[in-house]
Amino acid sequence: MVAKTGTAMYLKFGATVLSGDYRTFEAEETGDVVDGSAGADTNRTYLTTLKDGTGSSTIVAQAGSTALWAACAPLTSGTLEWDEEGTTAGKPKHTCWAIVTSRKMATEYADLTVFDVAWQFSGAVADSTY
Amino acid sequence: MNQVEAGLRAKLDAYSALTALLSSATAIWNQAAPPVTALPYVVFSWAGGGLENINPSEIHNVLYLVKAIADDATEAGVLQGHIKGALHKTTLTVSGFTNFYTACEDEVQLTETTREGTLLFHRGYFVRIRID
Repeated sequence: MVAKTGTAMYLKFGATVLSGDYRTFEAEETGDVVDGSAGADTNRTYLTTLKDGTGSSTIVAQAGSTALWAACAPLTSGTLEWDEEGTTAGKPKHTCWAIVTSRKMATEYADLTVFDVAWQFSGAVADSTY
Repeated sequence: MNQVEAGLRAKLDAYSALTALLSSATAIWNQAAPPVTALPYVVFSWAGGGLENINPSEIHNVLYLVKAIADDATEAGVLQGHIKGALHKTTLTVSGFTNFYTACEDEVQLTETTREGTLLFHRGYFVRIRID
């Protein structure tokens, strides 16, 4: 098996490509369960309910440009696409409808200005290949 | 990095308070001054750094040593102040890149004894330059 890094990452939200200035991206998918145990049960049993997911990214803010910041305004919705190995044919591709739930810009006196974006997934994540 | 060095030189060349006190208006050298260059003069040289590789764009974080060399400590100190005036919190013109951070950091002070027994006083700064 060959490991990989994120240098080829392709990250796009709506019509805006974010990967040119991205530092990190994280997608988390979860599944909810309910406790189905009762009576004389000695072990808990669970029933599955709904799947959910969130995404987050840290992006380097660009001087003189607000395009990326504007694309990540809260409650903006669109297709979020993340392809950790780029867009070469055969490489993994993930897409999901997503809504921006927060964005936060951190400015330091003597360091890069970056901002964090968080998305709430709305619907299923589609895993495919390019 | 040639583009950074060109920007650094241009900024120093344009700072008349500095160049007026040098042995000539062009007495600013990359790496080292030619032999028997008249004092005082300024030299700058790469001291560290390179690509940050924190995102796909080419952010460079480099450090340059910029110092004045004179045969009088006070004179070298005055020139050191002008180096700071020329470079601290300024924006360099770097071909192909945007300079988003330039700042003087550690001060440099050292004294050199030549073979002839003359004292040469080096005063300057390590200058951090970040470009994207």
